[in-house]
Amino acid sequence: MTLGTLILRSLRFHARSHLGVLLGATLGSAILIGALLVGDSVRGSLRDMALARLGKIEAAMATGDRLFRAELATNLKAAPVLSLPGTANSADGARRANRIHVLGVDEDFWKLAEKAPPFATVPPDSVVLNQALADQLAAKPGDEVLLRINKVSALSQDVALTTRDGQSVALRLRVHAVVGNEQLGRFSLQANQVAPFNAFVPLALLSQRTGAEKKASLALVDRIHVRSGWLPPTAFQVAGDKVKEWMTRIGLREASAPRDEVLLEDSESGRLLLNTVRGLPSAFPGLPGQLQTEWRLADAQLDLRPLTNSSALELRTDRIFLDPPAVRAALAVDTNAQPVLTYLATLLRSGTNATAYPMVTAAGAPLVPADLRDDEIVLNQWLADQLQLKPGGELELSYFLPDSGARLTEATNRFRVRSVVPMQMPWADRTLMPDFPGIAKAERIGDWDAGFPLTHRKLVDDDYWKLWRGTPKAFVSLSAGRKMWGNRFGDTTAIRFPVGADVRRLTSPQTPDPRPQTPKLETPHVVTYKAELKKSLLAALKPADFGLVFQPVREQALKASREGQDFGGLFIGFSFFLIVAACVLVALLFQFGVEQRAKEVGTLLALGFTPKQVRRLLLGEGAGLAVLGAALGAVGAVWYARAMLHGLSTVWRDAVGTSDLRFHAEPATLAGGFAGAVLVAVFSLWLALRKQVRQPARVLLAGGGEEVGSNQFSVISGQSARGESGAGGAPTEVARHSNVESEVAEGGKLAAAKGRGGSRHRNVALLGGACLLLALSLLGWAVATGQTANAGAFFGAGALLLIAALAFTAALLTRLERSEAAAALNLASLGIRNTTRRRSRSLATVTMLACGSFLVLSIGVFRLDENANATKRSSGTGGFALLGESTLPVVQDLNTKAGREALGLDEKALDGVSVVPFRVRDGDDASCLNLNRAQKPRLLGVKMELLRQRKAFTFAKEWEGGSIGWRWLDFLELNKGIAQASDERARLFATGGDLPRPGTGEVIPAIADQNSILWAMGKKVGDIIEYLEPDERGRPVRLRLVGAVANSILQGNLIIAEDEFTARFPSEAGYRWFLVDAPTNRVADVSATLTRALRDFGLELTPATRRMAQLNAVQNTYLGTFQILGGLGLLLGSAGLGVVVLRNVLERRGELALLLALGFRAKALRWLVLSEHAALLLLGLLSGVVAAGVAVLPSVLGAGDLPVAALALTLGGVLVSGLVWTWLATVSALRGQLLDALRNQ
Amino acid sequence: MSAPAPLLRLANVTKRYPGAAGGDLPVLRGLSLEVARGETVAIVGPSGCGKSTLLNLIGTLDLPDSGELVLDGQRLDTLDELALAATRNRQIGFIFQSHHLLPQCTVLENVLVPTLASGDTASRAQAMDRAKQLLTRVGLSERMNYRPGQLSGGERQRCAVVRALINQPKLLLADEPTGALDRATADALASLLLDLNREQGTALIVVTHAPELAKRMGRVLELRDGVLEAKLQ
Repeated sequence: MTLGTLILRSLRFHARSHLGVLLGATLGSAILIGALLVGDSVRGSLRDMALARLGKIEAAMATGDRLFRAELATNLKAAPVLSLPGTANSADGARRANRIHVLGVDEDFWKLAEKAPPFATVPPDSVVLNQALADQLAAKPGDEVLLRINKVSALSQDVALTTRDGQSVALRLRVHAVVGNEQLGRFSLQANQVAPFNAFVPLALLSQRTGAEKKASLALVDRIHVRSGWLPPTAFQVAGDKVKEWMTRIGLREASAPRDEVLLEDSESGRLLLNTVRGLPSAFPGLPGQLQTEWRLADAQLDLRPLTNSSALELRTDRIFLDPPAVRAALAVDTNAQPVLTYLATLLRSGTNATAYPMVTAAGAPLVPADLRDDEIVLNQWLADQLQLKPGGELELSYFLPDSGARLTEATNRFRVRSVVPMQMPWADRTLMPDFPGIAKAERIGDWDAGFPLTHRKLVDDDYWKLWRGTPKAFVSLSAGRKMWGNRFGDTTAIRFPVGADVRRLTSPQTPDPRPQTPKLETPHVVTYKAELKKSLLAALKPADFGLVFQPVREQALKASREGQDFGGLFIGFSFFLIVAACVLVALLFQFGVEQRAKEVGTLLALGFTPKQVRRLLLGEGAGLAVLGAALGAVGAVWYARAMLHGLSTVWRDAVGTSDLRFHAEPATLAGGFAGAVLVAVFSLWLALRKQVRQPARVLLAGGGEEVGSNQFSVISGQSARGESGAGGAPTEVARHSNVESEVAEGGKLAAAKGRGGSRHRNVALLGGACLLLALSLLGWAVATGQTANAGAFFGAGALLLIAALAFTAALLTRLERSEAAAALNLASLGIRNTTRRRSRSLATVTMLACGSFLVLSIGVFRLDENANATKRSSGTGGFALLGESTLPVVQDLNTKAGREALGLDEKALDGVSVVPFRVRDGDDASCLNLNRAQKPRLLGVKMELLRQRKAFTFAKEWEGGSIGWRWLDFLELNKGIAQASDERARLFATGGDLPRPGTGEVIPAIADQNSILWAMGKKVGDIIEYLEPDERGRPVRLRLVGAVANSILQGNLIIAEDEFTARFPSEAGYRWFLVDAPTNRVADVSATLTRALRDFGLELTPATRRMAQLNAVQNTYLGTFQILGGLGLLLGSAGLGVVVLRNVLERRGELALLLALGFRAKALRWLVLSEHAALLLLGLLSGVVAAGVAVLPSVLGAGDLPVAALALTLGGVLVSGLVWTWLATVSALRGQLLDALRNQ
Repeated sequence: MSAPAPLLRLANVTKRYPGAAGGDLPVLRGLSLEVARGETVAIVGPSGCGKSTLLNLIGTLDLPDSGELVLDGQRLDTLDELALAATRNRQIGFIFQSHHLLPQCTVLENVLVPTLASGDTASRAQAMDRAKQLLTRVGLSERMNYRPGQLSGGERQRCAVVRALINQPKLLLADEPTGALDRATADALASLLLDLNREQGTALIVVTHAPELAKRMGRVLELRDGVLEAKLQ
């Protein structure tokens, strides 16, 4: 005989009475484990999606607009991809998809798929669509689709001189196949559960048609198969696989795509191991070395060529402006190097004489005198003659600010003529002009296809163009030129390297060689020098300076899915009431069962067991039930999780934005959930047991204690049984005892209780009165101050009312208990008076029902209404009418007449319309619509003045308690201390003591939506975000969150100042994100006009309120889920009422038998019991509903979209269920020979 | 030569309960009692006189308001809950009017239940032998694997007696042990108790309304007005 045997014997003997406990434990466990499995499933699904979108891809080099040689990727054993944004239309134009990814791929790309597609490569003039795009276009193999793709332009669209016509190219292609997830159909480097629109076309075709021949913008590196090639599986892996296989077999787990590294990837140490084996820790020691070896100047879009007409080599770029790192490196490599900046002047004027569109070169000696001042200019003879100028004369030089983009901002500078040079070398050098697209190859100036209108046609000098082409007509100092034309892309168009006699001078430091040299083109002399120079340049340059950096995309993707929204925790929260209800039920049933065994407990105590030992024994018994319940619950959890996933994929889809959620169950979760469920159940049982085992053996041996009046339910211990008085002089022992002395004691205690009850009654009533008064005051204040939409005030008032109602209930029960009006006694009043017999139990029942119904109903007050104050600037829409996103960047200014005309927009149609444009650096959607943890949130750049002037949006929180709103973004202002920022704070933003220019600071101020910061990024205001991607110069991007905007349409993005944005990401041309102000009565018209005009840009406009609704839908859906599951919890809780009834009635069987003996009919007794408990049920629900009614008033009065029907159904269900359980319990308890109970008394 | 120390000594023990009028209702008023080792004592008295209260005090199921309670030289009224439980387990045996056997356990297991409280696993094997021996002694050798529900009232009470003796207590307390039995069975049980008293040397205090049972005890005491008075047999 052991304690274990005793526990087992008890479990078996009391099996029937334990059945309810077991069911409760099973239910609670199923819900708890099920909620965790929902988390597993969402996480697992996100991981599946992450792995599906990457296939075997481990790392990727994504250079955006900057293109590198496809050969570089091939040499790195990577798949080259040219990724360009575009739009797609079905052949008949009926269906359209914006923001699609057109991916030029070759056969290497498909080798990265987990499952090879049924084709080796995409045939010419064909396209392969992914499922999402095929569905959107309703396209199938054999159909034709029209793709419009942004052409690759070396010169940014933001440069004034760039051509803006023919930006895009249209391809009519036949759909060759539609690829699924396993065939890389979902390929994307952005973490999002929503499948992208992908169109795969032959790399050769795409690069050729878009002007990017043999170029790529993505290099994708294969994953190394760790298990097959590098490491034997560990015992842990084998065991894990076995468990998973077993779980899959029994249906606990769905088979998923082959993931041979999942086990390792699931643990930190595993990931480290993988990274070590793959050679891919965060810094990729292998790849950068290889990249440094394999890359060429062409990969930085640099070209080193010998000049045909002079004795020099020239470094230039088809991006026109050399990147600053290239300039620095070139000047460092050869100190003889001469930087040159040649730019187009729109007009050179001297008095009435003028000439249009000449090139002007800024350089040092020998092109200009070494001492040329910044306000001096050198003219060639042609220009001097044309303008009739001599040294000492003055002229005006007009030009477009280089990065004014399509706005074509013009500026004018005045110069004094220093000298006139002959039309001969080195001045008559047409190679000084960069290859401006649309200009360089034109035969006539009139044929120029540049990004500006030739407004000075009459002043065009075609004779000069024919004879001298782009030969500069004038020369200024380098510093003067850079002041005029320096821009975010660079301030140098070429670097010239005079080829000296010592061609090997690059290998050792040399002093500048001023002697002009005249080597012949491509002589061995030059070839040697060129080779040396190339080598030196490549050594001095870093690939990262040009965005050539490999990112561990697989690691990032898995991290994003791993750290994504924790649906396990979320559903535990949603199922809270259900779990609590199940626990209460378990506790009630177990306690009930133990109470029935009071004598057994008393016997054990009398035999020398300590209360602790007995509690352990009973708890052991309970633990056995909990373990069994949890085991059964684990099976039920699968169904619960599946039901919740079904809900998330259908009715609650707004919260997750995908129906691709698949069931997953991890062994660790099951084990953890199982342990948690056992612990929760055991804890509930422990709570239930505490009171029971603390009663003395003699009381228990006499049949268990009964609460005599409610106030005397004090805990009894062996020590307290001495009869010592408590602090208030109250007796500490209460028991129903068969002996007379105990009965006498009871009488005494009743009397004492009544005396004490009087003061408590008054205190409780006072508390109720105070709460009622406060609630009414709060409501009065809200109405008087017009705060009728203040959810907090109404929720507070509701909660106070609830407390008041419960306090009054407590007082009422006390009053009823003290009532001695025997004259008014009838069966109904007797029933109600009976509620006072177990006052604490009655009050607990009312409290549970009231609190439950209050919470379930009133949580609706937090539903978000997208229409509330939508036109106000302070609202979540920022007062904007429309939100737009375009596929291709819009460089024109939509707020100016010129910009609108350029886009063919009718000025009248846009009367009263203004736009706040944002630059976009693509990244992860950091809104609540993305379930993944955003690793690299999308960056938006905006002119903060546009938002500040409008006072758009409301700041929920600002850094260090500041209150300067959008001005936080103004980097310079902040550092000047004009803002409220302290010097110390300003110092945090920048390195060094100088005022930093945009792009030079260490930390960039950023603002984001509060929800994005908290949920999608897991950060808080003041935190620094280490952006996963360096900027285009390879510098790390560190952002400090300086402000959080309250729930708004800005969700999903990190917003920084535009000048900071362009300094960091100069290649990101134009604007792709727009907030549009439009007159409220013309929103639809404005939307239609803009959409039509910007169709080729793939512009999609959404009413701001609709976007707000999409975002709000997440929270509202969560609240709805909580209400539904909470309602179910209440329903389950109402079953607990049945248990309470059963306990009450069984305790009073003798008394009821007496009534029977006195001539009452059994039916009357049933009504007596029913009326007593129905009163409790109604009282509880009524208290909760009235209090909740007040709390939800703003919602009812405002949006009016409260799910009244669903809530009424829930409460009705609770009422009916409560009544049914009460009735069943009454009938069950009163069944049998009731009079026997009388005889037993 | 001094007299041997009594096994049990109660000196000036009082016990009160709160009264209906707000005052206290005294149940035991300075009660004193001494019981020698191996002695048999019957306590009689009218209903409500405090017999069960007295037995509960001796059995450490309740504690006195004042006075001394000494068992085998150790004061019980000053012990903590754990020590009291240990005393109940090792030194006192209880026999109740209702046998209070655990319905889920067999007769043998019921007898062994008190041995589980001590946590002394080493002595459990010996306890098993003793249980079997005692059960054989009381005529339950054929019923060892029966459940209480399968026994007659007398058999259940005999089982309860064996359970009370399993830890070889010095004092056996019986509260109306024959109250629920018919006369013949009650007589047999009384004989058994006395036989075991002799055999085991255990002192026996019986609270009873039954004069026949009381008469068979060595001493009969009547509880009246909260104090014990010797009753002439």
